[in-house]
Amino acid sequence: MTVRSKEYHRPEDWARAHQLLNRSEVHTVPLVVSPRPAALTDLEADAFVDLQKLQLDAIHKSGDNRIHLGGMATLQAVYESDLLKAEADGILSEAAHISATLGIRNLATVAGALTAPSSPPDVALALMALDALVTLQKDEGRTRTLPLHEFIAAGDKALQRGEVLVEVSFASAPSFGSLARVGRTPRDHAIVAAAAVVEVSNGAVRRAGVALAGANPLPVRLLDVEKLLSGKTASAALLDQAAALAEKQAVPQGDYRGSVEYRRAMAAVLVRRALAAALKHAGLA
Amino acid sequence: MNIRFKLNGKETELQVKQDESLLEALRQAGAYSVKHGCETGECGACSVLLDGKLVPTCILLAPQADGHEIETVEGLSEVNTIHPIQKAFTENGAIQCGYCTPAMILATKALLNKEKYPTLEDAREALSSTICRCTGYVKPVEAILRAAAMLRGEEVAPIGGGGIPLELAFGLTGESDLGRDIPDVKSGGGGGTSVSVRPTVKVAPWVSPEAHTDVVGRPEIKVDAVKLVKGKPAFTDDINLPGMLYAAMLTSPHAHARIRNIDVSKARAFPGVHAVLTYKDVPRVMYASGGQSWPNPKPWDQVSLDSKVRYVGDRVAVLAAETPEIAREALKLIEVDYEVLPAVLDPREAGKPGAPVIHDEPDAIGIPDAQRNLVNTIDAAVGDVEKTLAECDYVFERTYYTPKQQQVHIEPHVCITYWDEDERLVVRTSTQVPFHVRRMLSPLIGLPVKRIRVIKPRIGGGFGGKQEMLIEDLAAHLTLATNRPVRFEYTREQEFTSARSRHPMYITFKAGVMKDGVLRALDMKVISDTGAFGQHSMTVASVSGLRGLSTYRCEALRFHAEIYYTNKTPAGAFRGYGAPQGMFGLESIVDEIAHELGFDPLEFRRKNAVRVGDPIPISTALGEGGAIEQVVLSCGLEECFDKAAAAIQWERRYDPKWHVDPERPHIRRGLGVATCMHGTAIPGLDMGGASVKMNDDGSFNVLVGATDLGTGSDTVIAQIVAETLGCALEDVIIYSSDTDMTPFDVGAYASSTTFISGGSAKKAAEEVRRQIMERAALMLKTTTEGMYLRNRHVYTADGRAVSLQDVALHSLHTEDQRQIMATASHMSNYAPPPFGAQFVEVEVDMETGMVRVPRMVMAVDCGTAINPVTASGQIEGGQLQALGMAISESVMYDQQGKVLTTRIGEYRIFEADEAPDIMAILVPTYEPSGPYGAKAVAEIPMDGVGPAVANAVFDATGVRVRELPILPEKVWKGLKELK
Ligand code: FES
Ligand code: FES
Repeated sequence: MTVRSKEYHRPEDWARAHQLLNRSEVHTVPLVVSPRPAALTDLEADAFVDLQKLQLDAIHKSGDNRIHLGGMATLQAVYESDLLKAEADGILSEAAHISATLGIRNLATVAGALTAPSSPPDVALALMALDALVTLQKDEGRTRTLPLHEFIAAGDKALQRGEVLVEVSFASAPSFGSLARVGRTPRDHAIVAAAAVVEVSNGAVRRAGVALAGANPLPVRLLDVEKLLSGKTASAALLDQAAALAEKQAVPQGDYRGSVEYRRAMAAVLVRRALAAALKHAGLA
Repeated sequence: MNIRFKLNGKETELQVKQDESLLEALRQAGAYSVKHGCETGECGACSVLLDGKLVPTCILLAPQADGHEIETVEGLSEVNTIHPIQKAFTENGAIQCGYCTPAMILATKALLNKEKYPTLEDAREALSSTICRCTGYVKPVEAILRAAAMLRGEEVAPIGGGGIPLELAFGLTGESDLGRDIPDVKSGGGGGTSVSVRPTVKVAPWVSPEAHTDVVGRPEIKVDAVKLVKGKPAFTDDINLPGMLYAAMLTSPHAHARIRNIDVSKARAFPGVHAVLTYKDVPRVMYASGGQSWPNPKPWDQVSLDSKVRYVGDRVAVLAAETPEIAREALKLIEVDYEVLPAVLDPREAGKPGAPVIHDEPDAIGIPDAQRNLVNTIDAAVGDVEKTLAECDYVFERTYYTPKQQQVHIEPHVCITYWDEDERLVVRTSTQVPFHVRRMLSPLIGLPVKRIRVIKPRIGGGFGGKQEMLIEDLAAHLTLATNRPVRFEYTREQEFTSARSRHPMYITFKAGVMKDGVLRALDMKVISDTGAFGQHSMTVASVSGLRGLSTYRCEALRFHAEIYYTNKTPAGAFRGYGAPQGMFGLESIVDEIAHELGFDPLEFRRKNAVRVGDPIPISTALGEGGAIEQVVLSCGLEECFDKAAAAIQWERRYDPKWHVDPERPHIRRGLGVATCMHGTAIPGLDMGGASVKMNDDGSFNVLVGATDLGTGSDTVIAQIVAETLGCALEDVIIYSSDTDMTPFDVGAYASSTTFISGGSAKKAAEEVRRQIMERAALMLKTTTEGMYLRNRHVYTADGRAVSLQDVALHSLHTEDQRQIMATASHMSNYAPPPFGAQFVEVEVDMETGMVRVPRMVMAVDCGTAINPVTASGQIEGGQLQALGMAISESVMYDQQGKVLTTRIGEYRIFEADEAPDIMAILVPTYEPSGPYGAKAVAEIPMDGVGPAVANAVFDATGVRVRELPILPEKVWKGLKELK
């Protein structure tokens, strides 16, 4: 018996990458860094596939006015992207920035932020509020695309074995957004956090995206709240209703940073605060 | 496999394992500036520039770097050259222990490569991923701006500072250098932007004046700054010995269990494993692991390896193997059969009938009541507390709690043990107490003290966590078992589960006060949680009483402490050593009283605080070194209050408009204050020694036992010697903490180094000065009458001079040859208290309860600041550490006793871009019992921030939080109760 070193591969193309990742005899995973990185010795796999050659790091806008983020785009690139700063008050840039410090942002990727359920939720929240879709690839030509909130809801079962998160995209639109969070210190992994994005027309909310973390076992998108807001003009009463809905749906798990009671209360406070700020930016409040 | 990359511009090929980290590979390749501080990318010490971007290398596989370009600080400069960024860091005093420094330098480089004119925000952002536990980021951020200016080719101002002004420079020990030229005495000024040194006279009447100083009181560059800023291999782990084995430790998954059986046969048989040790393999010798003077305070309740485990993370087995990977794999093969026992985690429950007995072993020594898990009780009293309380107009009683803060020095515990050519055991270790380690290790491994040599290289921070013999015994056992060098280093997780922490305490104060605001009695009760072992527990609890009952004049004082075992990681020494606990209670209740009685909290403190000439009666009752009367000989507290209050704009407290922010209606602002008073060394106990030897060129070797743990004590001691011998700092070559080479010193703790070790260095230098003068008298055919040393010369009363070099050559080679050298030691029966005033500003979110601290100011009277830059660095960094305990830091456990905070990120230490604006003000006084008037400065910054934040939160919200850290939920609950 000896210590066997784990394999490292850096495929030149997708064909090879999938061939490696889909092996059943060797447990093989892509190298993906989350904003809360795992120790290398804790990575449970026998082989690693480094995707750096596969050009999966672009951030661009397509002809159909959607913004696309490659799965391997770093959080620093997300933070610095002018394209993203222009969307919904730069909520995604802000989320990328707050979820990790500089050195980690240079390594952590969009895929890392979305596939590690224990990582800071900010990027996932912002993207859910932006109504993002996520694309997963099991093989060349074998991809599936689903709403990000469904992907997040599936937790650690979201990715099938061998699957790679290759892209997230959302529709570019004139919109306003805000991220509200509470932590022990300003940059702390949020105890509870909420993201809100609103599009408005004729003085009313045309579409709202609202997402919440820390008040449920996994980050959630609050579709009920979004429905409630849609078509409405802003008012204190409306915000109260939205906050109440957020609180009602919460099923927190308490810990030393926040009890069940506290997290439930913060669900209301922060959803309200994020929405109020987004509406204020939109000129509706 | 082989990887090729460009390392500092050179094509490099390395053979690496496919799954080893880039960090390990770079260090194997000799890039020792890349440091290990964690495994999860969160401390940043391992950062390099990868294709120009700052990245942590501990979370990258070595092969990921193939084909890329890597820069480390080794590439920035050559021998005898220094890069402007490195220069800026040394000049600005941005380096304390230096362990984070290479990463900071690289972060600066990456920033300045793309931004010529960085803002303060840019600088903070650049440092955000490099956790620094020493500096509070103040000076590093300043250094970045300085480096940017230097790189733009701008002229930068020298870091100012002008020695001790004449009005302050009064002599010690009757020695005086009268007759020296006295240059401009008003040139005092600080280093860095937030340091101020103002000449103010505060002298006890019996001291005679000494002249202006040349080296002492000046912001000299730290003697070790250059090697640290260049990332030279100066730390324990920066060597690679042939045949070295890697140790790994198996720890308990249970909070309390008996080991029924342990089978290590598979691990032993694993190829590459050279030894596996359990309780069956090492002698059972009882000891206490705290690094303290002989005989170590009881209880002695530990053995190197035991058949019982008492906390999650407790030692089970240790092994040595050829590679770290083999060591890790082999650990998994050890089979342990545990009989799990019930555990107790709360010290208030531990003494109750029916609680599990943690120390039921019959051979533990000196546990007063093991059946009740009672480690110790302490009682002390001055006057009649009951009677005085009965006479008081008001009596207040409150209970407070302080948490299990962890030291989180960025360099983990690490040591390397090996046999030298004389078959003596060398222990190269990151310790604060090399001499204690040598003595304590001896009985555990069965080698006499004379066969052990302990070497302390540079330390990447200690903060008390290394005032402990924590891992040296295990490494030594492994070297004894294998006859090979063994390297043992904790992981970051082990630092949280298996190292030490501050003792959590419940502190109850009863205070008696009169209508006019005069405090008359304080009755203090403490319940301390020492975790599974009792080291340091008695002395820490005693210091909590000492500090809790010294600051205010009272006619009656009483202290009672009970210390209990629990099934948690043992507590130990941590900067402040009981004082932050006691002071949190004291400074909170004093604030509560002031509020209830309608006094301004600052005025109430001024009214009751001790002043020059006051005795400190509780110290006589509690002193570790025996009953020695203590009196306040110097005190700049009034001026500390004045200056810090002005800096924080205390008057805003009375402006209702200031407390609210129309832009952010959910925010309330507040200001808080706390008085700080500490000790300097343990009177009658702490001792340090120094030797000074003159060389042919008139330079001096200084050998001290003192242990510089990053605080700059080597520099301070060298400054004291240079001042005394009339030479420049660069003429002093200091070598410290090597049990074979240097005199004894108790080590770096209890704020003693400047005072005690500095005192010994001054004495030795004075004796050398006497010898130099005699030699000069011989050479110049005159007497020593009126002679003085200055500018590398000896001057006679009649104006003639001879250089130190000529003196040395004459003495060593020419006539009546003899070595000019001396050894001296110093101990003090006085422990002069430094004083301080801590102010903080807070913003409280009234909906979430979150507390943000935009600004902290502390003014400190540390006597003479021998080096104002290192002194202010201590005050800045200490405040941020203390803020951690106030806001976020606490090791947390689940109900089974498992540690939940095993990562730096989860434990939560302030990062550069969220740290407040921190200010340090030095208020000079002259302490007659200290070298050149110095008192301590290292620990006092831990004392005031906790209560000042709690007091500011009260000012902002009306909510009184009596439990640290002040997590958002605690304030939120308080706000709900107010409604
Ligand atoms: S970040 Fe790599 S050692 Fe801590
Ligand atoms: S100087 Fe930064 S960790 Fe010590």
